Amino acid sequence: MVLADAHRLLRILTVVAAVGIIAVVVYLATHNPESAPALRCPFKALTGYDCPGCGSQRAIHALFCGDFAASWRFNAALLPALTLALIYIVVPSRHAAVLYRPGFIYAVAIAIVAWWILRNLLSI
Amino acid sequence: MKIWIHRNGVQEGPYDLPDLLNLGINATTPVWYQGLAQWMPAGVAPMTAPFFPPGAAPQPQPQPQPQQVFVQQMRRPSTYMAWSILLTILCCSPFAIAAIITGAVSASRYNTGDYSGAQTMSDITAWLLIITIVLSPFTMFFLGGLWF
Repeated sequence: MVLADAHRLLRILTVVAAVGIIAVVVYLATHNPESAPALRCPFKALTGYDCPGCGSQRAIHALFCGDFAASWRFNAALLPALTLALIYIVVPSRHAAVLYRPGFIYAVAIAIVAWWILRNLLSI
Repeated sequence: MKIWIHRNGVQEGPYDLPDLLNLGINATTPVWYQGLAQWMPAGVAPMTAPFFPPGAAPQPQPQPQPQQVFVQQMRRPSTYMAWSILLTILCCSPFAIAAIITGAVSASRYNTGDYSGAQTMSDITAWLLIITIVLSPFTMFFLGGLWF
């Protein structure tokens, strides 16, 4: 029964998280994270390696500047990931069964991990 | 063992067996639990049948339930894919990546008819995302610090 409450708790927390994410995105609209104070990746601080999301703040700021090439350079996975998340939110599941096929979900996980390894190997 | 029931056109549950017996259902109420191939009347399903002996209670509705009730699928538990992807990219959390995997396992169990197992993996997915959301502010500020 405790486990069943996880979904209600998560609903509340996602509202909190959404407010936090929107606040950071609004901040990034007017602040360049390369010169202004910005959040720093804990994984990169610990290990020195890039995580799958490293460069997202610079990439989001570049999007606000209309510089898609720079956004792609900072984090090529950001736009595809945001697009996919948006598709999951707006497309009703009965219209897109492929999104909930286990093979597709595993492929998403493998793509993220592959991107994580490749960007460190190739310094991208 | 968790049991789902179908009543007044709505799917309810999961219930434990003792709770189920206090709900006032009768032998014709469709029930489903893990191991049953399809929905069955409570008086027929092996686990609940002993509590609904034939002739013990008056049968107010002699006509059987509509057939489509028995083939109706269980609702798919959420895979939370949108949040798993967002939190993986934006929070760099290993728990969020794990949540994508548990979401896939949940979808896979749902497809094989293991509805209770799919619900369990969906619960675990929710917990992994809760851990991500609660931990991320701390890891970012205390481990990552701020760029100045």
